[in-house]
Amino acid sequence: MNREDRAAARVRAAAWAAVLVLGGAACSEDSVPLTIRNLDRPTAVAFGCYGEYRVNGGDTSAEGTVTRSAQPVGSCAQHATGTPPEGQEGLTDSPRLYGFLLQDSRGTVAVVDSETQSVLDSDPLTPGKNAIPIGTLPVGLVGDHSGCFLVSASAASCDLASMDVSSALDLRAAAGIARVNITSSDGVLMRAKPRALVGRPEPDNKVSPAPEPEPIGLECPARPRGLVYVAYPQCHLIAAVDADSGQIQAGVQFAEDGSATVTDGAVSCPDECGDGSISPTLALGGPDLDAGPPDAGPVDAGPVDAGPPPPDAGPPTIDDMAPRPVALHQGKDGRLYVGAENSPIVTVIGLDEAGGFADVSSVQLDGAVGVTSLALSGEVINGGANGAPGGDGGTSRFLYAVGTDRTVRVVKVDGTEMEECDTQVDPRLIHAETDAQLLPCFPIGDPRTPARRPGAISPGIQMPGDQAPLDVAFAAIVPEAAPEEPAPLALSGTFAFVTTSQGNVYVVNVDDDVYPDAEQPDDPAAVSMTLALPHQIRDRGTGRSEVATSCGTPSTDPSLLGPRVDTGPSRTFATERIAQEKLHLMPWVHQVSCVGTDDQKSATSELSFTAPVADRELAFPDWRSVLNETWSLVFEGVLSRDGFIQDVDGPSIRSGGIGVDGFTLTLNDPSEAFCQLGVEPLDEVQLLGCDPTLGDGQCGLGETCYVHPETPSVITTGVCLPADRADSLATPCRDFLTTRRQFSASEVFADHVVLVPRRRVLRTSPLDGCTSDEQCETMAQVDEALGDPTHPVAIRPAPTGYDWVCTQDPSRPPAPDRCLMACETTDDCEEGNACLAGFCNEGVPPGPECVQAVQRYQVRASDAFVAVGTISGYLHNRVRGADGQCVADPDASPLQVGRIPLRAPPCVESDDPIRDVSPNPCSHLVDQTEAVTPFEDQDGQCVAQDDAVVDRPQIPALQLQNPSMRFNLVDVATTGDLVCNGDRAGDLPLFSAAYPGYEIDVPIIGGFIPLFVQFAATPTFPLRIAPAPDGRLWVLDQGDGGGAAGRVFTLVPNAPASDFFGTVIIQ
Amino acid sequence: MDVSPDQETLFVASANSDLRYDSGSVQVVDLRTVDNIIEDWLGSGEAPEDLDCAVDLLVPYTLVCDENEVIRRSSSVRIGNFATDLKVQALDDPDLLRLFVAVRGDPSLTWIDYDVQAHQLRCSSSSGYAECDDEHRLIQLRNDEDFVSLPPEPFGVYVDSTLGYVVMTHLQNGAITLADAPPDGEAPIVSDAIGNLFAGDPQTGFRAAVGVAGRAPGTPNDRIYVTSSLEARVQTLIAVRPQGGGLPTLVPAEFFFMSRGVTTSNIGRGIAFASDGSHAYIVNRAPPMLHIIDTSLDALGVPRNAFVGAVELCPEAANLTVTTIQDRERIFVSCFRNGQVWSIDPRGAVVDSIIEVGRGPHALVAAPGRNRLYVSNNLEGTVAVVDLTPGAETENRVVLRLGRPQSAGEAP
Repeated sequence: MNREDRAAARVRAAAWAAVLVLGGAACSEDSVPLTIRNLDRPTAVAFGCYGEYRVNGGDTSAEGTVTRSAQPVGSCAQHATGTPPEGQEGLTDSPRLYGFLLQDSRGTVAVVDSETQSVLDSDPLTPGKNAIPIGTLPVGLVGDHSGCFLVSASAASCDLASMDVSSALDLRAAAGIARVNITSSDGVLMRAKPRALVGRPEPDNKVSPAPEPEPIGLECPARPRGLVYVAYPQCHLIAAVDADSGQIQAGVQFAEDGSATVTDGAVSCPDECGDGSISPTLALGGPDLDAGPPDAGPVDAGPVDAGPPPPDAGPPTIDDMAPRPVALHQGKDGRLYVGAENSPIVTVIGLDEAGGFADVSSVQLDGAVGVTSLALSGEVINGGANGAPGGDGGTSRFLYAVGTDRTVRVVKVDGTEMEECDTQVDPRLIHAETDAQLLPCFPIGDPRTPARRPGAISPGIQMPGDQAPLDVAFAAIVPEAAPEEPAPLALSGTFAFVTTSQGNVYVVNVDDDVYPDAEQPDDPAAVSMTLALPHQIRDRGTGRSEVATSCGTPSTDPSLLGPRVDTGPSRTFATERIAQEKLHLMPWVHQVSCVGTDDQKSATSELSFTAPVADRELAFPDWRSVLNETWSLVFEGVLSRDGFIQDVDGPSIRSGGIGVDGFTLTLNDPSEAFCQLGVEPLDEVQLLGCDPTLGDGQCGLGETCYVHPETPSVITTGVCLPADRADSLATPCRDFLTTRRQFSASEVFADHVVLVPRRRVLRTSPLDGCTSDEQCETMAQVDEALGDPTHPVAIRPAPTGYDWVCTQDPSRPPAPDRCLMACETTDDCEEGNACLAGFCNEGVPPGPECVQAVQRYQVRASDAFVAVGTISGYLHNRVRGADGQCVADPDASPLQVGRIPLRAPPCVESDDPIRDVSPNPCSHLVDQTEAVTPFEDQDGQCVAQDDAVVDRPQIPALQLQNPSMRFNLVDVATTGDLVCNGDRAGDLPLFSAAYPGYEIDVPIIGGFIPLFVQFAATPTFPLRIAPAPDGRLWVLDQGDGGGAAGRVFTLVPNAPASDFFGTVIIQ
Repeated sequence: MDVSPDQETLFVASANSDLRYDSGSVQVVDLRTVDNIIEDWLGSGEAPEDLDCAVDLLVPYTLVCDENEVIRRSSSVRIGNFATDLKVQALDDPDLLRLFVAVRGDPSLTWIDYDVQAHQLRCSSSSGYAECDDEHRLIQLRNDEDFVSLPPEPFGVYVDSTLGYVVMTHLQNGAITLADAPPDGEAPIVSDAIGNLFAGDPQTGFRAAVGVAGRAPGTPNDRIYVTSSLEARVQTLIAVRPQGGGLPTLVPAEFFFMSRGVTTSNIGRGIAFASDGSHAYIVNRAPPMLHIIDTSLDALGVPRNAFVGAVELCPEAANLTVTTIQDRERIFVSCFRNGQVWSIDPRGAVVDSIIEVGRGPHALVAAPGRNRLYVSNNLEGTVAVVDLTPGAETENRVVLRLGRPQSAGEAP
């Protein structure tokens, strides 16, 4: 019983008895691993600096008083460089950096010593490592300006909590937590739930005028200082809140059209927080959302610069409600960036000197998408290669926005100008692009921006597989010694680190100063545009630009060298259909000539590493789409190869019901599988019946797997029939039961296909059409001879015993006349066929009583090879039309093709073949090289000669391009051999020796491997990634895994390659 | 537990064997009375003197009342031991409801009719606190002795009132049974069963079908989604009736894997859908996550079944319910170990509230028209009533507890 069978197995009543019964097992709960509870679902991190501190009032010349205290984080950063801040020299114990982890489900803050990367115990008198309670459902954690307080908001009580950093690190006393209500500027209590909270942006030194750093040496204030910014999604509001008083100083209010307006602090929001008291009367309903804040008229902040929307901009929100801001980011340009979970509009708030809201601008992302996280890069000098930083691509920043469409959107930020970049341009279309200003960002809607690669779901960066991006952070990496050769860990430039739902932290090239930026015409192997383009996940492969120096077998390590076929292709064939000695007549993957250093020529697959560079450039034009997978090319193969553990194309074996209405036979699948499978008219539908070796396990209740006693040996299955009527149905259902039960789908709808009998056709029918019945008989003898290893000269053809006629076959796709098996009675037909209307058919329409049971079925293509990738699956362009019929999608990429018919239109001659993808598939002529064992006719005897490598110039080939690769099949048609095997001198009409089930497997390795940070353990759900002042990136793993209830992983982007990011796990 | 369509009545299945009757039971709770008590309580802040109620000494906003104050005592019936799930079917007759209960002890799919006007449960010809008779305990496939009994360990129940069928999962062998449940009130019958959809545990042989829900109830050929606690697979099925009528059968359709979104997610539990069927919400235990799956139809007319996000959950989460309060969808997940219910805002995939409800919360059902969530606390034998009124001071708090908390094993 194979896995597919198990998946679809129907369990009849009797089968229950065989089910293993183990008492009490259902009462058992899932085993719970020993849980480490030092951390519990960290969701935010802030950093504090604590230790010896000279309080000198900011007078760096004053001696001041040395104490142990919290201090501005910048103090630790300077101490870490070995040069203490001015006025702080001579301290005996330099301050240390601490990480404070917010744990929202527990409402606590855990403290981590950043130097030792270990969790501290905030309450030594209580067993375990204890965190500091800060409130229920806390949201966000930020340091205030003094560095002496951390501030958080509560989504349960809707207030602010501030924690005294010094007290949190001084174990002699309880941590000082102060709470303050948030109020509007007119004193109204704010009872809306906050979703995000950040502090004031700290601009980098690229901002003019350069910001004044927080003075070091000031005594800690009694209360937190400065503003924090709070996002209220239900109120569609960003509020600037004074951390000390809790009073809202200003707001940015979003409207339903997506626009944002700066208001004063007199804002009003729905009441979402109860205070726990019992009220005399129920307070039903919230305030009127439309009423607007009293006296909260817009401030004269100047015109809103909304920026141009993308050309096909959709509505401002995806649910017709005002934007709900949930993502806040402190830009290094001194501005506040805001994303909304239901809007593609990213809003940018300019701040005045006091941190108040000065102006707003926005950029609208392409399509209906929301934003859940944001990060802005430092200033990037675009371009640069071979280890040389800088370049001529201009200077800009990049905003990365984690979208709800599972991609990371990229926006180029050039001062106040913002435009979204298309990161998914098809590399086929830009391999000659050298515009240094354009390459860093292909603006959406710009005429210079080419089409996207097939399968791209948005212009954003797509994570591998089904992973959803969670958060992103940037790092500018300046290695001590600039690498000159590209390598996965040869990092120099600006990179993004993206966490995903599968626990990975991927590295994205923003500006790679090592890899070349454009193709090199004189050395096509040197650069792959997929790896050169900015805003692509970094590749983990090595030796990508290497070329073959010999014709020997290259490495089989998939992470080495460029994309290629691995030790193949190979094929699976039935010797009774094609003898080993006659495989040269079968379709095969195009081979080219490889000339080694010793000038010895050999044949190699055009997909091989040893193929000429020019061929390889054409074979793999987009490395990002090349996966390490095996492509199976099966003649008249099934449209899905999904097994029990695979979900790519949907189950390969489906179930449906048969409808019989007069002469019309339909297969109805309520799961509407036919368009999804990519079924095309006149594809083959086989009713699989049941496997009698499984008893009645594949039949429904009350049914039995019935095998008719006259069933020929070529049919190994039975049919599910009502158990109490099986014997009586044996006679009326005989023909149905004893044939192959293969039909053609004459009409294809999403939920049903109309089945017609499928005639028995000769596989060697002349492709250009048969000319006579006699020719068909000859070709039938050729068919039989293909399984005979004997040389043609020694074969004595004999009548096949069947009646072959040359005529049209309405049960297959339109083609010239074919050779069909004719009959007067079923006895005239090959076993498994039945005679209908003068022709042998692979199945006969059953009476309704024969097909009452649910039918398992499979669909195969007609007259074509089916290409299915183990990861990519079967690519097709069928969609559901207006009337439910399955039709070709006119908007589908021409690369979304998974069939190679035996005949195809001519390829387009082009000076730039890498760009041309239509028609697809197509036919053209190629130069073929192959190794053969030639035979020589010596007096009617074929005598083997020495093996040789021969050229076959300009032979017909069928070319298929899909997103992954481009390749050719040769010998799809042949005229056969004349005297000896392999002489190809036959004078038969063109025919194909391919038979249903003939399979060519093409295992591809060297495909794109995304680079991710490898930790000692894999994070479970890394919800946040945040840069620390010491240059590390902290990955906050919220998920339970590895026996822990949440962990923190840190990495050092600037670590030497040998340290592989210097990762540490804190748990 | 389940609530009647008019949100007037809460039906509660007591799973544990009652020592006096050697049976489980189904109780009928009058939700109007419940709300009256809550209204008085929140309005006055005082425990009502005429009722057997008292203020919770530890939780001052919670009133604890003896369940007899709200139960329609003469309405109850007895069922087999260890009920695991209960769902209500609305029948064509507006005065009749039908309850389906998965009963592990029998094992059976027990059905009970409820007379809306008389407030009476009926599952036998006997009167009083009657035990459901054999006719109401479906233990035989197609009621045909030629077929063997219902598979063991019935667990989850899903009812499509309009299409007239009931789907039940089986914890031990991963089987799924289908019962024809005619909306016209005809007696239901187990019409089909299907197995081997999930991979077996190599050590125990268990297959474990657990959660079950329909994507768009009442829609022809609606897909039924089933989760497994031993596999990442989520299997879809369709209940199909033969042309011209007859008993429905189950046809397997697509499946997908939760682990494609979050690695190692292979302990599926409860599943529920957004009201428009556009998203499925699935509880997975390790790692404890609520998976959000896009189940909207693609250009092919087939659910996308694409992972779109996840929310970290409490340990040992199992069941969930989805409800819409003031046009805002919310998901409530019971956390057995923590004694909490976590409220999730699916729009932002965030926990927006954590509600302390009592020991061992298990089943939960909402009455959005009343702004209430009802949670059964398995380990203390109570039902917690959570106020969901937006903006109320008691929003997301247990304002009433039905039944006095008992220790495990304590006599009622």
